Amino acid sequence: MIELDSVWFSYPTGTAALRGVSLFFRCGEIVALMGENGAGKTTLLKHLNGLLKPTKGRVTVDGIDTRTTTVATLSKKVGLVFQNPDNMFLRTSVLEEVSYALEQFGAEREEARRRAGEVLKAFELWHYRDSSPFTLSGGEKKKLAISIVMAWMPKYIAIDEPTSGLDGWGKRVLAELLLNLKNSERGIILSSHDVEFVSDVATRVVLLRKGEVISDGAPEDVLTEPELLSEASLLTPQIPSLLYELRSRGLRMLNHKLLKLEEAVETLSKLLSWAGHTGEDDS
Amino acid sequence: MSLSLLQALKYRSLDTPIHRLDPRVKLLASFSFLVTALVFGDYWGGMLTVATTIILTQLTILELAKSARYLLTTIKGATPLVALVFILSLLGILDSPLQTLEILYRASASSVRFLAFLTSFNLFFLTTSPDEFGQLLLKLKIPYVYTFTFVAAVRLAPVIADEAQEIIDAQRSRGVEFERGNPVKRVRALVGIFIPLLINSLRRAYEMAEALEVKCFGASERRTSYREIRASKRDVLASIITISSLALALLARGLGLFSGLP
Amino acid sequence: MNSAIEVSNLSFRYAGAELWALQDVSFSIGEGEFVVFAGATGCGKSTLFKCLVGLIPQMYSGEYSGRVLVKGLDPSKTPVSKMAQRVGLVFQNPDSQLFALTVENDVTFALENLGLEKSEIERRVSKAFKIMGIDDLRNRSPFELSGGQKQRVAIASILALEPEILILDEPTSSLDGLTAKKLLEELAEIRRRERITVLVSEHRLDLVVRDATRLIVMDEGRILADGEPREVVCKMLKEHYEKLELPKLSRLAWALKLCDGWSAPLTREEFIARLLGGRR
Ligand SMILES: Nc1ncnc2c1ncn2[C@@H]1O[C@H](COP(=O)(O)OP(=O)(O)OP(=O)(O)O)[C@@H](O)[C@H]1O
Ligand SMILES: Nc1ncnc2c1ncn2[C@@H]1O[C@H](COP(=O)(O)OP(=O)(O)OP(=O)(O)O)[C@@H](O)[C@H]1O
Ligand SMILES: [Mg+2]
Ligand SMILES: [Mg+2]
Repeated sequence: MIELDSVWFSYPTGTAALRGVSLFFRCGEIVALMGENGAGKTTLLKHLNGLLKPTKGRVTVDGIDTRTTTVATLSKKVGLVFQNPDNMFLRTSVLEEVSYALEQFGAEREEARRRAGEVLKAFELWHYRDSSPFTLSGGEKKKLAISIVMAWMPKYIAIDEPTSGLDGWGKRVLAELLLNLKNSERGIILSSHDVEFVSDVATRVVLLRKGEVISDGAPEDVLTEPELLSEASLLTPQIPSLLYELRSRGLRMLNHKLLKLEEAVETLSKLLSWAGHTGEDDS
Repeated sequence: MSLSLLQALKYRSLDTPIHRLDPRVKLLASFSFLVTALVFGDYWGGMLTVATTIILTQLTILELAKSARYLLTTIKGATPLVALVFILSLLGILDSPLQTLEILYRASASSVRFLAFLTSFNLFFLTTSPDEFGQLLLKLKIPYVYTFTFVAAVRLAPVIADEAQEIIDAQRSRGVEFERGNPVKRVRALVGIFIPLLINSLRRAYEMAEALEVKCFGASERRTSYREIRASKRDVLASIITISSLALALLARGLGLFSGLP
Repeated sequence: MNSAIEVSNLSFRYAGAELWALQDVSFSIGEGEFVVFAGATGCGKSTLFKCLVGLIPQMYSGEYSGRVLVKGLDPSKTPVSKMAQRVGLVFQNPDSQLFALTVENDVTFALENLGLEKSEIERRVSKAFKIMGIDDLRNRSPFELSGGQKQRVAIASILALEPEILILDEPTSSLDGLTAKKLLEELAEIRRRERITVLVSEHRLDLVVRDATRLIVMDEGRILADGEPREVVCKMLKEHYEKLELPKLSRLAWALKLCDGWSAPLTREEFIARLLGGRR
């Protein structure tokens, strides 16, 4: 378990980015941190592998205070994907980029390359294995950044804005990978503005505002509350927003706490067939 | 050493009366420090006194600018150089028929003068932003392209510093140990950042060139300045003080007023 | 309608790359259109945008063929800084676009380059700052901002140029929901008011497509579909084109058979109209 105990953090410039955040992240969860630009999501994620240390308060990873160990040691357990992929690239080829960390963490060269190849194939980046990471397109860079961390299979994976730049297909692959990781008892922490993606994968949603947690709960409870969401500068996902509107137009029997497409299809087809029947009765 | 010297010269954006002064005044002040240190070049002609005064004056002004500690850092960083000057001047006068005390005095005076010399532009660099500097160059009728090249180079510096930090963070996050282990290993780790830093800096320079283009750099002959430097009453006052101090110093030197003083 | 952009048989291959990033692309965009470019990762959106301001081929080496005319100018020959006065491009990665020491200076820089008067700069800067909500960041360094804040500054600096054609490469990728919505509404508004042409690339179509007049889908360097957004979305649904992320509402409408064969609803209101009206 990763635990943040009243964490405060200020940058050297004086900006107080976290103001007394207390949270925990467990294995088997996919937690999404959401909130306005500048709310402190990235700052929080950088605390998880010790890149930033709290100004006040404590962060512990499986009981170990991040202040008592090094980033290199922690990273084996907590993999962090940066918000801007450009900032992660250190090597001259895509394949090297992925195998590099594996080797740092002790894998044999051949084994590292084999494993790197597998991850690259999952994201359809194998074709670019010999290209320089910097010549990739925006979305390809994002996928590479995620592959780098997926390769060494850390116990906790923190991804800063996983979907920015990804296309529909990339998002589905990612969602599947994340769900698999969750099922194999790993802990996943995301930051995101993408309410639709979060609706599909998250098991818990934490809303941040100006460095404070304003809400923490199940996606069905948090992402279906337009007022709460707008406090965090987020839009309501399309399905609850539709159901909400239908309810306000008199269809009060509709449950608006639905996020998934299949659930909405089911509810609305019932409504339609019912309306169809009454329609026939009328004529 | 060299790194801390540069760090100490880096402009820091603070809001103090000194930072708000017209950069031309600060350039004049730094220039006066230099000239004064230069003209008082005779032992027993006030050399040590004047050099010490210059350093103390600059410290006082920088204290007002909340930056005195950066001057101290420069001084600390410059110690090896100053020591070198001290030793060289000792060697140069050692076989002359002078007394030990006299030799020591001369070596110290030269060293302090050298330090005054070396630090004379700290005031200017510490409190003038590269943009103000650019505008200053423009006011001095230096063509925009040169001014820009200079400003761009200065601007790239924080980008590269930023980049270096990002690379270190990226490596640490992938298991490269910087914080622990024997010195040899740590030096190896540091060497490891150079190649990515070089590649990334080139890339950033290239990106900056692209950004310049889409921001219409060079599109119009007549470029304007949003924040033009304009002298205020305070600036005039500050320049009067600077110019009269310099004039007094030159006068004192010309009349030999300080002769006999250390 | 006068055309603002004419592209005919444009192909480009980056030096050293095996595949063509653009293959024989042709289209024309009229004055005042709002066009969304969508397509899988790596399909060539950013490459196309770089061609429209001339960064390609002027700053990238590779094989270039075909003809491009933007506002009557040929971007492969006109200096980019001249093109940029009329065609504003916001880069996909804001980090590569920011370089000044303060946020304010990053936005004024281009305006100073144009030789604008101080009062005019002031007017444009305050307008752009207001749209992007970055007034409180004015004196900060762009390197000490959050990802989304950087993106806001990068967009503001191009909005302030007030170009005749505005091109934004995935402008909402790091923006929070409300800011993204505000930006897109603002784009639609200035397009209507000032008749400028707007080109936007996006992966998430739900927000951007409601005000767009046209949706172009690219695939492996070619144009796959081009037309009215509701019709293109319906076509993609019909063909089970999986690479795009189509709006959930459109997918829901498809599953409920609320698409009338050639056009899919994109917004909540359109959906409700079909749900309550169309079916019965
Ligand atoms: N500088 C470069 N050198 C070589 N190849 C490049 C370069 N930039 C892009 N490419 C390649 O060209 C193709 C098109 O890239 P482009 O950036 O135009 O895609 P895109 O549609 O913008 O994708 P995304 O949605 O991921 O941003 C990709 O296959 C990419 O790998
Ligand atoms: N390197 C830095 N130096 C100083 N201040 C910073 C730095 N990085 C971020 N900040 C500030 O700290 C606050 C929190 O930033 P953070 O990057 O954590 O936000 P975020 O929630 O990730 O936002 P976004 O959604 O835009 O990525 C912001 O006000 C930001 O301006
Ligand atoms: Mg962030
Ligand atoms: Mg792109």
